Amino acid sequence: MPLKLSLKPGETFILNGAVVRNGERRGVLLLENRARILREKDIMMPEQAETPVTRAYFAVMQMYLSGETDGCWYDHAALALADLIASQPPGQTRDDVLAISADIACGDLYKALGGCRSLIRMLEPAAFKEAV
Amino acid sequence: MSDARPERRRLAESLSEPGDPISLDDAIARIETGKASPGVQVDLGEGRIARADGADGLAGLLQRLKGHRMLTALAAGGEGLRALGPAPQPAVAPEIKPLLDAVRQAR
Repeated sequence: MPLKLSLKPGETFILNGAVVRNGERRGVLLLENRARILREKDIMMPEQAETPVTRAYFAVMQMYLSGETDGCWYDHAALALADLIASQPPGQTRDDVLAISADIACGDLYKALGGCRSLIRMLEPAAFKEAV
Repeated sequence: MSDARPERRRLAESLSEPGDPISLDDAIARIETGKASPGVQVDLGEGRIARADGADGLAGLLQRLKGHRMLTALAAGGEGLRALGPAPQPAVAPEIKPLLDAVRQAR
């Protein structure tokens, strides 16, 4: 079943390493196979990664966009998650970070990114509006 | 004289077969001692199964599993973790920078 994306006029997204921008009208895109896609509202810039949770999102976002599950960018993501754990008291949030870590370990970077997004909504709702 | 080739084939097949998922610690021990097959499956709970399907194969899987184990130990470490200190500014991967620059220009 294809993934259907409704695009706003001028909306930018990244699709498998290409930056694509919609035209002046609303548009609909159907993705017929599995691909790495990230919409403009979910793209974070490095200067927006100022806190442990946004740094974790940024690190996982880079892994997702590159499609790399191993290597030095994994180390960056693991360190960012370690900082996020350290910034939280024992409890549900740490469990949520471990779930993100497990998703990364399984190579499910899209799900891990969604987990980070949920944490940003919970921990820094204002940052979510501005950044992702 | 017996023909050993079918036995060799079975052995080779068994090394690449997925088999039942094993635990995190067991998987790390097997990979580190060279006893894990490329088809090894690791049970990380709640239906999550890790495999050696990244670019670095078993070495990459080992990296991810050890990272996950480190984070699990850290999360169980209590309140004293705040002493880790501030993290450095995030690094940008060379292959990601042109994408972010292009998005910035398009905004």
